[in-house]
Amino acid sequence: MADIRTCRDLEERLTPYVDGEAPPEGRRETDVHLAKCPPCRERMEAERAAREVVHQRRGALRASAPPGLRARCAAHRTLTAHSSIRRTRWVPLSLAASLLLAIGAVFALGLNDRVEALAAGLALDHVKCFNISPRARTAPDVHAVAARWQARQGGALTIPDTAPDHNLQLINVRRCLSTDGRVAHLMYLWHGEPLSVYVLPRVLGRDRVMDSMGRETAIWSANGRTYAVLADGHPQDFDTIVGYVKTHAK
Amino acid sequence: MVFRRRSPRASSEAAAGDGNGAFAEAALSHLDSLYGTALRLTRRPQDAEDLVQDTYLKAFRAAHQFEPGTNLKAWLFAILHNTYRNMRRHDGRNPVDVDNDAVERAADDAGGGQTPEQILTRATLDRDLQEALDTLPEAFRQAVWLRDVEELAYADIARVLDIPIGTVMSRISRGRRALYDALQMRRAEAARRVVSR
Repeated sequence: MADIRTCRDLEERLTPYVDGEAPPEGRRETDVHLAKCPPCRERMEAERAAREVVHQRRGALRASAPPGLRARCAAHRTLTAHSSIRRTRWVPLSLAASLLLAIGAVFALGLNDRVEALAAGLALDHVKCFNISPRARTAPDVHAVAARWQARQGGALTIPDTAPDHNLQLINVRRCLSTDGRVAHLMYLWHGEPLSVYVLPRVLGRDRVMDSMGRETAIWSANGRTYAVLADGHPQDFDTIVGYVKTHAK
Repeated sequence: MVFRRRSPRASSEAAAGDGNGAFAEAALSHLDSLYGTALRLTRRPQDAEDLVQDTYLKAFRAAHQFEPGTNLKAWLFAILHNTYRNMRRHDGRNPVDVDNDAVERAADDAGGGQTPEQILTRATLDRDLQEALDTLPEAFRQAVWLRDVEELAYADIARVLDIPIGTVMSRISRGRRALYDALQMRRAEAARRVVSR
């Protein structure tokens, strides 16, 4: 570390000095500077005073987790374990069998609220649709599809288009029959793997990012609608694609 | 902190196996710390609970990535802060909004020439302290909190906040001084209220 020539040089040494973690040599140099520089001494004393207050009161500043939170957090352990097992076993099973298994799992897992229940329903639909829906022969024209949706379903629909930058390709838009039929299911390939966007014509409460049956799921509400994005597994750049959908689904 | 797509077999067994029980217990022993920190970040109990739940969900999923012998609490804090940053990004808010210059100016302007040490300690109520902490810019509040309340090492804080260790120290230093000024200001206001009564 360089000598302390100016008050700026002291800046980075102040915290370890106040915390008593500065090496002896650095400590001596700091002492020398502080002895001849009242403004720096004042800064050091202010920092030390604040440190003392917070550190002394740390017990009072801490909070206790509300009752029940521990159990809810611990439950994720089971949920995580289940979804891992399910995912490895799903592949060789027939679609019907996996759906039955999955529906059973929804009840067996116990769901905390209706958002989780919805997410589970969407996860099932996601699996089903990617297995049975025919792919559109040509890339869907988002404006034509949106116009058709509005004419038939009565609600305006903005569809995030294919985005080569994000390696996102729109392959189909359909009505999600697993729910009440009023939900739009936008089907994409993202890095070549299934990704679903659902648009519900109502608001559903708090925004969430969660695991739903081994699928990373983001749910949020905006403009009187609820949106959900589901991708298989837990991809690390999930946030980026959710951000893209958020911006383009408005 | 990065969560990778898991290789399907090895990781799921590690996460699901019976050997996971001890890990889960150890992780859950930090629940109060995580909740308290989440509460200071989000300031709303319901959001704090959601944040903590998301943190544990991710922690259990990524259990196989934890290196035994390293600081589990710091590892959990890193997941918590990472989750919080993503949450903020989804909200369309700037995750870390630091105007260093403004804070530095504020720190320079205040001062007042009072003797700092014990007077401050004695005169500050917990509620005052809590509120003064909440007035700090988020990045500074996080650094001070992790250091002085949660007592993490500088290197751990650097990992949790994903910033260089030099930045950690300067944020702690500036955060503490800004806090000092905020507390002084509150005391001055309280004194004025008493006088004008």
